Amino acid sequence: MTDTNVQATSVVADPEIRPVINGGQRSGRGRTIRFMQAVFGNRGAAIGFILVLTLVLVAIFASWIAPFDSDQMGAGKRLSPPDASHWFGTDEFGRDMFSRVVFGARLTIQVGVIAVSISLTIGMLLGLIGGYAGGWLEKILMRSVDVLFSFTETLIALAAVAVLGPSLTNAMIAVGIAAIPFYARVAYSVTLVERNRPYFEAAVAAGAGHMRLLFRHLLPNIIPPLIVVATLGVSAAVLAAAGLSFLGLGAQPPSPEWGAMLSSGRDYFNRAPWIMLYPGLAIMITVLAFNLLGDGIREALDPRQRNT
Amino acid sequence: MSTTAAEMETSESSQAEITPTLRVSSLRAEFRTDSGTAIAVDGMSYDVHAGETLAIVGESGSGKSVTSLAIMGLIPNPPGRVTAGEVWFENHDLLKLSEREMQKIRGNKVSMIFQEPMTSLNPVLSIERQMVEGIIEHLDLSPHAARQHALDMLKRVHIPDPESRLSEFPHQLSGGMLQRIMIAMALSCNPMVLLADEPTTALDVTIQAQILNIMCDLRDEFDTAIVLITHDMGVVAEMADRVIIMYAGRKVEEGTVTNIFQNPQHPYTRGLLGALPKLGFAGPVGSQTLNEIPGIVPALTDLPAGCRFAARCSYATEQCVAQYPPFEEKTTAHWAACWESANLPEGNQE
Repeated sequence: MTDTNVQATSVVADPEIRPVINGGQRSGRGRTIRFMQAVFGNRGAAIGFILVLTLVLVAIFASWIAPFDSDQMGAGKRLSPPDASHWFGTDEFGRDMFSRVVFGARLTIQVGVIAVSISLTIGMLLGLIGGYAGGWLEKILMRSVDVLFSFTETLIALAAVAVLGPSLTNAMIAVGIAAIPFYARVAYSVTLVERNRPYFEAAVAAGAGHMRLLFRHLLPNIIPPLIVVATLGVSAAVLAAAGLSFLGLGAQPPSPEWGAMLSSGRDYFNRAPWIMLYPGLAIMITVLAFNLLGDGIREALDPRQRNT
Repeated sequence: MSTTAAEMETSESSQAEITPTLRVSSLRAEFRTDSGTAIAVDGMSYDVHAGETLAIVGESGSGKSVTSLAIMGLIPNPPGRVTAGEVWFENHDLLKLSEREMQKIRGNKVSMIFQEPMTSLNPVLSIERQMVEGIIEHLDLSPHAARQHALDMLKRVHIPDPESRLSEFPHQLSGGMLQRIMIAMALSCNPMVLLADEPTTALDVTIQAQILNIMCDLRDEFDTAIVLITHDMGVVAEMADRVIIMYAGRKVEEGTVTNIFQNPQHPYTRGLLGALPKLGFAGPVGSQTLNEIPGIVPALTDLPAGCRFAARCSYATEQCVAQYPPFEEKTTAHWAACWESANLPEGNQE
């Protein structure tokens, strides 16, 4: 990794940085600060964070940034190449591509957040309960997850869209459902580790009931690794939703969804490659940003990666 | 120690009128392993009374921890299982109670302290949250009253500046401090029985003494019955009223501290006492080496028919190998399971 030196110097420079063992062994406000330092000591993570932040700001202020409305036809000549007035060119209806890409950021953020929330919430509960309960409940839950896991995500998403009907909302739900097994597996394995730690036995010996053990003792301890998975999961969700839209199963025209824009630009690729180029680049940068950020958080949480 | 044999009113024979706080009888716990069923505890029985400290001593794997886990209903199943016996507490057999009923007893009327204070508290929850929740649940106090109670308990275990300790997290405190907090938590609902599983093993010797003193004081104040599990004879001498020596899942000797230390009736007890380092004699520097008990504990999956200690015992006879000795009263209020105890030489060690 090229960022090892940066990380190492920042750690040496601040002897107060203590390893965040398993993300949960150390707590408090000081820990949060040290954690942030560790994340930003990693160059890739810092770039990822800035890119994600930019994306969020673009989404929030889309109507101020974009010179035209995303659906305004005839904002320029049809299929005109990028120039000073239309930075990313125009599409086959003369819509301003820059405005469409900017408004698309809103949809992308929505897709990422909603799809990941669905899969994170359900997956985490399944894994937590499976790992805690043991016995037949564990077997039923985790074997069902294994069955889901054996299908590729796209296939599950396609099946879900086939049932729900093609729309961006349904694509988000479909992508969310498809990723559940992944989160469930991670939550399950971390729960198994946590429930064998002495504090868990001590909590049982102190008379804690199921709810207290599950949500007060175990849940906060399994969240750190799930944050990493969720951050990386955003990029997977964005990619999957764009894929569904590209196939015509997600966002429908005239929605400025990047995947859908790629799909409609396909027919004009020879004459106007910019219609596909800019949405494609936007997807790529978004995915890259979340991956960099997720990797950075993972490294900051992993004590073995520190002080090297 | 101020405890003398005369003060000890507790023995099984003269026990008709005083009901013990906790009575364990013929407890048997098994663990299924790859190499067969391991009998971790085999016919364990004891009584413990209010205000008394009973020490259970034995080496690793002798079943002392499993006994207390079984009392709390905490033996992991599978692979473990309590296959026989009764645990009488407040006219209930704890082994027959439902999980929900046990939750009301755990941490409330019967508490437990674990060996590792550093890992026995949840790392992501503040001390306050961990202390207060149990108090609210068991004592039915308001959050404010519960917090006040937690503060009181922290003061009782001599924690300086308890107010600010409450908002701290386990990693910010030392091992001795955490063990005191564990004791405060365990005693916060004024339990009738405290099971302390090697409470000082992970601590410095100076801190050990402090912790033991705190436990003694609180025992006298609240009239708690303490079952102290340890392998440290020094701790036993300091804390206990009565002692049970366990070997390979069975009780081999039981008696008052004075009896056990001055007149041990089982060669294993003599071996344990002989293995204590003595000032001026022990260590590789002096001419004498530290005594040890030769051999190892037999595998719990393949126990011999006769005395389980026979293979390591220098007094063993054919009878010892063939037949398990009965657990019988050798002198007043002093039991042991040994065929040869009458023939042991004078003295208290090997």
